[in-house]
Amino acid sequence: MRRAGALPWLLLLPALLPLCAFIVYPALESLRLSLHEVAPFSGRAAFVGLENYRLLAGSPEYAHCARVSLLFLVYTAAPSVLIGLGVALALDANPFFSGLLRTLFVLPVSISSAMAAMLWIFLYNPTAGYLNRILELAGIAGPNWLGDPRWALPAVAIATVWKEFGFNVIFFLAGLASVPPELTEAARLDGAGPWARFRHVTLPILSPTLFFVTVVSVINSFQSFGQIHILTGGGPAGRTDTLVYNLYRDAFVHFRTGYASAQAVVLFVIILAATAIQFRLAQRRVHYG
Amino acid sequence: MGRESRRRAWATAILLIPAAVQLFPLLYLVSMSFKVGGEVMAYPPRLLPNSLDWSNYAAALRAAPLARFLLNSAVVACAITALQVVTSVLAAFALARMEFRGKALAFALVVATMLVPGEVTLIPNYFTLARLDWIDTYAGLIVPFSASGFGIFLLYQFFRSIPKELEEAATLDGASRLRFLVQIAVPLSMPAVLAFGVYAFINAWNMYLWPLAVTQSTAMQTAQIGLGMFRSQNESVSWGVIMAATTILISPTVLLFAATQKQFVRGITMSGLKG
Repeated sequence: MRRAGALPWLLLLPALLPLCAFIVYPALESLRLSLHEVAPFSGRAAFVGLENYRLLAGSPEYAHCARVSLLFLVYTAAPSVLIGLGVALALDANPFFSGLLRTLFVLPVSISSAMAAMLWIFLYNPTAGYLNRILELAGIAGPNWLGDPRWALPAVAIATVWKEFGFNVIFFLAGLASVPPELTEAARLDGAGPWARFRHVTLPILSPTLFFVTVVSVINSFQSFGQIHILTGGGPAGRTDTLVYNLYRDAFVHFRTGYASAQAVVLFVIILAATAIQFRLAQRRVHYG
Repeated sequence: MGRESRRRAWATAILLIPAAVQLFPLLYLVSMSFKVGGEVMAYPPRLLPNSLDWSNYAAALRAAPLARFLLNSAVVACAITALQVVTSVLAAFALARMEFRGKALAFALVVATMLVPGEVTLIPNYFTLARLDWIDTYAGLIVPFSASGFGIFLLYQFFRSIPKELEEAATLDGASRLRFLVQIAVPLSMPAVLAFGVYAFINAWNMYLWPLAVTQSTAMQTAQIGLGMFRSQNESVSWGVIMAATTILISPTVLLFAATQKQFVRGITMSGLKG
């Protein structure tokens, strides 16, 4: 390729300018603010060193939020990866009405978490909602989903998984499309059962997709906000108070800018660490063909 | 029954229950939107409304400036989509098909922006907007999202896969770099450009935390924020009306996605993003 003078930078500028102004600069600015105490209305900042981080480390409330986020991660990422994989495998086996079924599974992807929450809030209504009616017909007394401290987090997680696993289906279907049919057919002729074919043929080829989907699901779980804001507002008794929700409240309700910025930096580090750990784990297990 | 049709029957049977679970909340939403008066809170709850009564829809349109929310969401989502597609195409083309000093740095910068979660940029961006006097304006909702690291990365993968010979042939014909981009590279990458466009639109339409932070007046609220406000400000309003409002507000993305999901999945499949 020949050298192109200033043209490449002219092409890059319209993208780099907003990326620098609204992602790179604020990321660095968050780091700076986290070392300051910022007055709510004047915005005047006083340097306090690592004080905000010290406060965070010593805060039982923040430790509680971390536990809630971790629990939420287990409740949402694992099911949406596994259900997504199962549904994609069944769709890939060419079921009847496959076009219709696929549309159905990927459709909720287009609904925002806030809208999905609106729809689930009524399904969860203990008397007029239909979820408990279904349980009642099955002879089970349903809980007060969103009001019961034991059930609120699982309830938010169910609504989240419902909305999100279709996204994983799309990527798994893309991954499965790259599995050569001759390979599974050859394995079958060699006498491999369905499980062995999946384990030794499909899964190795699918492993990069599985890895990508898992990483994205973990990141999404840590960032969930809209559904929590609408379904429970962090309650009852703080049982759905995740790290992001706590950050939002400290930033925009309590106006503790420095403290909230420190939380943003910690959240970034957590997400980065979670991603890095997955990369390390994947190194030995993912096969790039 | 042959082995193939037995397998197809099994696959269909396995999918029936998840499909029902997936569909039920949506059907229930639509059903609820037609329930009026005491029907909504009736116990035991019924699946279907007594009649196809459209009065909830009329009431929703009267009670909340839904048309305004929809307009705001449409303006914001369309503008963000157009900006992200154009800026991503240009930047991805430069990174994928040109040699220049600082290219590695520019590429690293783009990838790094994909790793920064929105929560980290929220507070400083709010201050930036306040300084620009963009709080509660379209500019404040649109400009911060006028580029996308993900979009650049996705299209970069595509542009890179266009054979060199094609470009050489085009330049021999006297086509300039930009003509090659517009007349050959973009048409060849249409599945990816469209997939990214749909993705960008849905993401922009569904934004929540940012519009919640930077809109104040009803006149600037997007559908996502307006609906939540509508519910909390009208405790007495019937759930049927809220469900009618929700149905109206989710329709644009659901219809768009239902119509384009086939191409969308194909775009993802061809992008190499699968792993």
